[in-house]
Amino acid sequence: MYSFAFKTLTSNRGKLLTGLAGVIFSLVLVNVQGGLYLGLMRKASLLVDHCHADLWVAHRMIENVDFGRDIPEIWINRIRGLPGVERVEPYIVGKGTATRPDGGMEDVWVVGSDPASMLGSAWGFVAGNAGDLHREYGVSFDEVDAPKLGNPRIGDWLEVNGQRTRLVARTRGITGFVTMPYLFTTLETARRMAHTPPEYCSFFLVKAQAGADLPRLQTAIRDRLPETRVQTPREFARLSQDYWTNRTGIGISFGASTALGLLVGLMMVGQSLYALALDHQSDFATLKALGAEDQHVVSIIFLQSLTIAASGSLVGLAIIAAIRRFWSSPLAPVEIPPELMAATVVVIFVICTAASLLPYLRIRRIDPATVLQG
Amino acid sequence: MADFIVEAAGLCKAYHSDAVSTPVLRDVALAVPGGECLFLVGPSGSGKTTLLSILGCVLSPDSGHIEILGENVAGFSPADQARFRREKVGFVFQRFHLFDALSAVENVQVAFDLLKWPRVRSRAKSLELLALVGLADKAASRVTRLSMGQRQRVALARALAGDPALILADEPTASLDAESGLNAMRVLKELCQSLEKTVIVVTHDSRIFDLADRILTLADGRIAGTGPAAGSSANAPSPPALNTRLIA
Repeated sequence: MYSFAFKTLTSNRGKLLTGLAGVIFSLVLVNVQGGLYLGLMRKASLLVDHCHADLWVAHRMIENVDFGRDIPEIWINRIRGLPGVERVEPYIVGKGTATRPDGGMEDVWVVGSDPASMLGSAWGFVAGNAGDLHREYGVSFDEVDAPKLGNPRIGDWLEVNGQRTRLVARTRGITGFVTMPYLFTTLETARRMAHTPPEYCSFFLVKAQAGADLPRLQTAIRDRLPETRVQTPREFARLSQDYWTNRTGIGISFGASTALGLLVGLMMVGQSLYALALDHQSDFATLKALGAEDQHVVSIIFLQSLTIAASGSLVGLAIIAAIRRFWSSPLAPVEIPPELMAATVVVIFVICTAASLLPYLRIRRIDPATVLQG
Repeated sequence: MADFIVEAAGLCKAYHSDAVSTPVLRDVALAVPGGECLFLVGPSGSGKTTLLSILGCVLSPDSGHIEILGENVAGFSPADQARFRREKVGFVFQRFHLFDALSAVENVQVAFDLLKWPRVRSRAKSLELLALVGLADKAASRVTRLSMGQRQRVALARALAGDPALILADEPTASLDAESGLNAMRVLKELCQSLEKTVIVVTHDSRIFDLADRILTLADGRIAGTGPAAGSSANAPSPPALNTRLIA
């Protein structure tokens, strides 16, 4: 039956191409939309994802890693003595306004790490290195933010909140959700730049001892500091992502366009399979006259829909790979994990199977006697 | 009963549209012995095609008894009918009804696919059948590239797929010119004779009447006459005249 199914399908290229276009359109749209969404979400939790802390301790009203709230640094001592803690460090994420050499202003994030470990500091250096951030007033910036900062060179001075800083390193790939430049530095320089009071910081970063029971440690910190929120990196990343998803409606927007893409794909595949069935009504009547039963008709339409799904998926995946390779950028990262691709291919196969229902219902009504009635 | 491939009595069939019922077959009885080449003739609307459809289990009679190859087909469900058509009946349709997208051999293979034959075996058997009808060299050709006579032979090869005991042909010469029609019918007759098939042919074409072992004439849904065929196609009478002679 595959020969009949396949050749009937390929003999009508217009309808085959329509079906393929539906599959490719759905697959690419869903993956690119999903990839853009995941890329944005990754940006929303960028600092958490690239920090190697085991636990994040923040103000209990914290909603987002970028919007740190000050907590008394002295509370850090209540954590240090807990069993399972290897070390705990203050961490600052604050806001500032940079003044460009041309007089323009640009809001920036100021991120300060403990100079001993530089935990949570910059990564992806393309000029300078983490050690350079120890230099007096030294900060790093990302190359994607260079135009916003007046295209500075390494060694140039930049004023942030009226404080002079020196651009000592350049990174690649550090772009947050709200696209404000991140300036990474040491704790004290950050405190000065972000006007954080001397005895305060934004977070405590906890490194646990090897083999420590993390959930127990998390509970112990909560007990010691009930005014704080203690989260694993995964929990905190999720909180930060949910903040933007819920506050901006971005989830609904991406979800709606994804659903629309699937619906359009379903309609295109269904329409092309239905039109194909109408074109070949006589063939199906002949098949029935020769003794084909419903199961044969189902297998033919199913094979046709699977052929469309499989070949459309192959082309679609190739296009997705190309988009991911050539289109993804730090500003608009397209992060398409294999799980998303696999899931959408499964959905496409389900859609194609569903789309084959309509032509089946039409063909089921065909009377084999029509073949003998001229 | 065992000597007859088909045995029917009291067959009635009517078509219904809205409140109108049009009888097409009225109390038809026939018996077809194994290996016979029977022609069903008669004017348009006489019920030939309806009778052929019932014999091919495409339609069910409204009433009456019909046994084909020892099976009472009158009470068959649609699934039983489909199974019977696949396994026991070979069809040659008026317009051939080949699958245009497929090659000659693939057209024959479709019948084997319905019988769930393994692919390699069905291909070999399809090629064998095409060779039998003289189309070995056209096996890979798409049927749309074949002449009408060649298409008719592909249809015949397909009808023989699965070795059915009964071959039903609906106006097999209607789409062919006189010479091709006669040739095609001779091939059909000779093959079926050599393979010991029972053949029932619906036709208007008096030029092929002498190829029949017996001719059964239908008029107004009834058997109007039956008897052995005339000796020569050139002398074959028109169906009404034939009826008179056969009845006499």
